[in-house]
Amino acid sequence: MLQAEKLSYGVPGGRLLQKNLSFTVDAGQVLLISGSNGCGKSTLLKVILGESQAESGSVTTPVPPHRVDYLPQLENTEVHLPLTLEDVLSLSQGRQVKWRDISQFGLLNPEHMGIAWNKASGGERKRTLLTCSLLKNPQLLVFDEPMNHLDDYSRTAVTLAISRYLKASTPAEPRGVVMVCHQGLSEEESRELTVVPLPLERL
Amino acid sequence: MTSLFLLYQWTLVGGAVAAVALSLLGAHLATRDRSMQTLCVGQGAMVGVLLALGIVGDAEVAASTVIPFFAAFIASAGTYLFTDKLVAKQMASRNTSFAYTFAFLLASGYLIGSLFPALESHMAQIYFGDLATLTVRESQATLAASALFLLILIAAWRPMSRQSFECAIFGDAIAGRKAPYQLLGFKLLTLLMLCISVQFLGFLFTVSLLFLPTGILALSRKKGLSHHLILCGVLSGISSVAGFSLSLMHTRLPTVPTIVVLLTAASTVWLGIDRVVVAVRSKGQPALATEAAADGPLT
Repeated sequence: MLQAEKLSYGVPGGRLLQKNLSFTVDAGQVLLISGSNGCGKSTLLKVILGESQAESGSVTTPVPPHRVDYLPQLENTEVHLPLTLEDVLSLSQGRQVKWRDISQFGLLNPEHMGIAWNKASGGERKRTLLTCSLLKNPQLLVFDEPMNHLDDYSRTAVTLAISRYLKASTPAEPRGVVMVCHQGLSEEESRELTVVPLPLERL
Repeated sequence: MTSLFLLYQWTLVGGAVAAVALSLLGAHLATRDRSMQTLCVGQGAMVGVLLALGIVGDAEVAASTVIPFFAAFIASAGTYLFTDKLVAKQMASRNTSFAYTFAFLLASGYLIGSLFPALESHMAQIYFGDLATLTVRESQATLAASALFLLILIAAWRPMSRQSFECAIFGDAIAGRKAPYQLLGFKLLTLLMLCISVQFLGFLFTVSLLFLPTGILALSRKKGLSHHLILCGVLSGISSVAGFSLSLMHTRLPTVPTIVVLLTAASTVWLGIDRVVVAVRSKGQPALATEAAADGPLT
């Protein structure tokens, strides 16, 4: 799904963040990038997504760009428009979404649909955004800190949804996940997923 | 009275359609947190119009509105690019940057007005607008352009709303990377609408119709995107027609301020009705259920 060979990258026009990184992610696996602040976790995502240039080395994926979905960190949590969670799901797909499509991921309940985005909890917002991503049926899911500020219930729901998504991987329709999680995953969460750990340290 | 309405039929319809289109655009601009920048860009358009009117002269301009429009477009596009550059990668205190740019452009507009004394009458018109002074040709041009903008806003409401949402929660850079041409198209639409609206309908009309309805109606207890957009459009269109009609019937009433006051009153009354309906519907329910119904879950 994803392969990096002797990858070195840094802040554009600035310091080198990592050098000679090599990793391979197969179908059904999660690349778990962890490490302290400033070690280049989010920049690595940009390099993988092709939005930043590597200094040297290469990162390759057979997945076409339109089958890659990226869920970045939230910059703001509130929006001016009085959107409901159902509005957010419909907007992400460009059409009205049926409940049976939403319910297959097990992240939301019917009661969530009428909740205002601005009144939803952090967990409900993240679960909604993850549902938006999964509805697009991507081959490669790229998340930046999906577990940040989530309670145990939401962390479990997100982990199970990712696990179900990866278990549906087939040779004809391979699926993989790249995830930044600066604190890593718990033992239970790691048991649920096939993880390729990539701990980064500041140079 | 009927003949008066017949005389201004194009202006009435053109103003109403422009009001609806501006109110929809304003909802997106507010969501993208670009209200203050829009004030700057609108002021930039005004400086362009004033400069063109001052340099070209009244007689030339009476025959053609093309030069002031292009001047407005260039000046507002310049302001847009400058303010975009100014706040690029600046997450804090963006509004301060927009505020001093606005102050500079306001002073520039006044300075241009002083340098060209013939502009005195135009200054008041461009700031506060007066739909009654529009010629039939100008009214028809406003109607045609506004109808086109409104069609685009309606046809593209879903992708435009999605991008507004993504700009709000992920930032412009990420939203722009996902759909760069769509973001460019939105900026171009904003520029064109601002230039035409500021030139023909005035700064006050433009800014009020952009941000008043969406600002007030966003406080509604009833949630939902389509409900909000439809309400903004309907109240803006009705207020524009009603305000203009009132100012035709009572000559002492200024057109645009009447429209703005009516729009504020209509939006506020709607909010009041909305709250009463929510209260009546939840009457008899326990206090927590009432709050949950109005505000969403207590999570």
